[in-house]
Amino acid sequence: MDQNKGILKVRDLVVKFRVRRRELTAIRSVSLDLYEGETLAIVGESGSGKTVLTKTFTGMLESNGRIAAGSIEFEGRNLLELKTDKEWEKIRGVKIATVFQDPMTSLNPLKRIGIQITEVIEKHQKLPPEEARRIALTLMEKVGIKDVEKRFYDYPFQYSGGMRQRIVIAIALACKPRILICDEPTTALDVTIQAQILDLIRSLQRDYGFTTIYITHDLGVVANVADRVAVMYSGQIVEYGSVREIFYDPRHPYTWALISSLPTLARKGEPLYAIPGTPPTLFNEIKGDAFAPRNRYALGIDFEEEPPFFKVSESHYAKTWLLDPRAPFADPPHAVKLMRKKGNIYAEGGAAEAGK
Amino acid sequence: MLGYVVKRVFQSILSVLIVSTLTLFLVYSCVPRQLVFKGDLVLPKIANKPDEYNDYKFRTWEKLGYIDYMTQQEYAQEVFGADSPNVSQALLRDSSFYEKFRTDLSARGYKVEALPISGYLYATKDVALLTRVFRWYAKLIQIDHPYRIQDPNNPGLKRGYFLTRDWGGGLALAASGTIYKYQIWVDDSFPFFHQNIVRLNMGRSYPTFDGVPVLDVISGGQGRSARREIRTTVRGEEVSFFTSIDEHSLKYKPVLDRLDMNKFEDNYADGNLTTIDPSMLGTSFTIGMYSLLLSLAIGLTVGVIAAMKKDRIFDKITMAYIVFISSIPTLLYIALFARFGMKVLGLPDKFPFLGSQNILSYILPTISLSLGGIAGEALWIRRYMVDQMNADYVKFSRSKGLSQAEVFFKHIVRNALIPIVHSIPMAVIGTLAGALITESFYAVPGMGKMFPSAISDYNNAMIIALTFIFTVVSILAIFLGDILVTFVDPRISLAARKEAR
Ligand SMILES: Nc1ncnc2c1ncn2[C@@H]1O[C@H](COP(=O)(O)OP(=O)(O)O)[C@@H](O)[C@H]1O
Ligand code: SF4
Ligand SMILES: [Mg+2]
Repeated sequence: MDQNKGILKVRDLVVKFRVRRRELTAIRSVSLDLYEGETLAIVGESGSGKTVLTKTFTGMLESNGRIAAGSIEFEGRNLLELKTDKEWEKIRGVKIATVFQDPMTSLNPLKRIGIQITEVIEKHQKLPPEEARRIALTLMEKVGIKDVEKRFYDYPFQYSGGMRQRIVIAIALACKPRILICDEPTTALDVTIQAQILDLIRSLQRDYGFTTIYITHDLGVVANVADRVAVMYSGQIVEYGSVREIFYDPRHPYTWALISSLPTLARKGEPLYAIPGTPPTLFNEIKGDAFAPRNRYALGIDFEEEPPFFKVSESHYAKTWLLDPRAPFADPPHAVKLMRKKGNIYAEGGAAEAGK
Repeated sequence: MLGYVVKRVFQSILSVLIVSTLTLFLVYSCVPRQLVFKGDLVLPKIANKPDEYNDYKFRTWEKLGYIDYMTQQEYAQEVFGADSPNVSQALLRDSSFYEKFRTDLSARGYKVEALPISGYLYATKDVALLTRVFRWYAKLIQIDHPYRIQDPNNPGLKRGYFLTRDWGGGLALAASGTIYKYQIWVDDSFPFFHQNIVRLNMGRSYPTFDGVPVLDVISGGQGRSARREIRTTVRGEEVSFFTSIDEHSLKYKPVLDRLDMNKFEDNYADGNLTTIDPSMLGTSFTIGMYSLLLSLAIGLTVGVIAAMKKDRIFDKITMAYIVFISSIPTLLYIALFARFGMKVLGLPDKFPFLGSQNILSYILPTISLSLGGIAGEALWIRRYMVDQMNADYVKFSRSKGLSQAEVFFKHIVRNALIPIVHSIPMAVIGTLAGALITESFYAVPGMGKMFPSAISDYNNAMIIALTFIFTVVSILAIFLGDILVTFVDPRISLAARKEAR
């Protein structure tokens, strides 16, 4: 994959929301590169800002939100300079499309499935209804709907959850967007359907060649779909790298915690790992590192000063003081060591820990 | 679909029956029978004639269905035949008929007593509550047919149906041998299609409108009679005359006088009068209908705008209005509004000032009646729209690249049809309930004013009839609402509904 051809470039993005005369900062200076054709997973517990971050790419922030700083470069221009809805409508659904979490509510319950697909095609591609219908039927077939001629005229309630999510994907792809944002597209579906939808997205990506941003709080899904991973915590990206790097050689204690809470890595007889405490409130200025209060590896400096990104490899960066050469050694949790072993790149720490 | 409709029709009829039966039980068991004379005008005049007083009371109770009543004379007529000389014999002081009356009627379960002055006997028997209710239903539906009239003095009465033209020149199905001459006709007054074949009989009004069938009181015209010139042919002769008879109400009249002969060819000469003012039903219907339309039109518009401008000044004013209307007593805001209407707009605050012929009379009652409905509709649709605007499918539609306006009109507004249809039955019921207050307040001669006065006059038949009408209208509204929803909501397609139940 061509790792060098950037398609979307986010720089120092800050998003604030006004809530009852107070302001919270949901995104705190995020920078991110998205490369053509890749699948980037954004993980993090809920409330970490994954949805808000991606909403800024389509100008879909709620009216109480504003972008306080930063830039989002796409196709040679800064998206944040788009002012009117009319300008945004040339991006939304056309260049950057979104699939939301809940297929049960993403479709208008009272409009025929077919019409909900054709209305985008008619609007963006300015095609006559007959032509739009033809495209819609093809799309429906592509996403795995059988008997499309008849199903075209059905209402959402006549579709199952998985089928609806297929329709939502069909709508999102109707105008052949360059970027598809999937915001927890399978969270509301049961496990077997989840796998089908993931497969579908992957195969469509091969056919259509779009770039995917895949949002999830489920690391298990990430391993399946992503090329690269960005870990978010409290409105910041705290670590990013290739899937291998994040899974087999995580560096940030928050990523450690996420990996430790994977059920498949739990030790028999031990309770499943849960990250203690709750994320900080976003209303206040956060001093030092946001994760420090919940971090058992926290250093004195963590409560004073925000860590910068430390480079682990050409593609792997983590935002933790533990990577500072002056930092004392921190022994990662068992699950992480297990993963390192698996990945066979167990590099640091010396042999002493290996046996433990 | 048909199955569902039939089932809902059946359910609706059942509901009407349940409500009317309950009303019958309530009225018959809760209104003390002594109280029905409160508004009686005759009783005080005969207070010093104990025999007449007694007789009048029992006769009235019998008429109202409380008791069965039989006098010595009536029984003698029953036994000997009406015109028999034995009848007057039976009333003589030493007649053995006294004993016979006592034993026979006691045997039938009657209580026999003697009138205080004349000493004539009479017998009374309480009608059981259940029987009363049963009797009400037994005579409720009256069907007219060509063998209905059996007049021994008119053996040659023709029987059968024929087509004819009425005075207005309209085509009508008429009949002879029936009670009513006109069976089916069409004209320009709502509901345009009329019939006399099946009529409901809910008893006679008492003590107000004494003796008139209650449904005639409710649906008959009011005010002065209206005379007009009629040109027609009677027995081949061209005639013209002034009359105020409503020919569609013409009933069989056993004995015709000369005046009748000049106007009518047959025995159908007994008609109600056409009047200048509409009936109670008509008046209430006009005001209720316009008020309902006003509630829906203004309430929905205001609610939608408030939702679009949520938390802005228009929305805040709307909410303030809704809170105001729902927190203060209905009578109070109507009174305030009436004062405003009178002082500022110069409109009459009592209906009879200008009367039914002047449109100004209707303005304040109609608007007053819709004030509550406007608040209800606005609140309902605003809540729905706000809810919809935050719905996932709206966000998804926006992310598809549809504009705010496209999403609003192609998705949200279309979906709003369902809550609107859902709200109509409640609006109708609210309007009915509101009519009781507004009509009383503005002295509108309608059913809403009649109802409370029927209660305070102990006009049992009227109370029952009005309850029946209100119930039918409410249940009809709910029924039509249910049927309509199946057309606007694909999720409740009739077939699916049929299966689900
Ligand atoms: N419209 C809004 N108004 C106020 N706060 C918001 C709004 N949208 C999101 N937030 C806040 O921003 C933070 C990030 O939310 P989100 O991006 O939805 O998290 P997630 O990672 O679960 O997708 C949360 O704390 C949330 O409360
Ligand atoms: S910077 Fe400090 S507190 Fe933050 S994650 Fe690293 S060690 Fe923990
Ligand atoms: Mg989210």
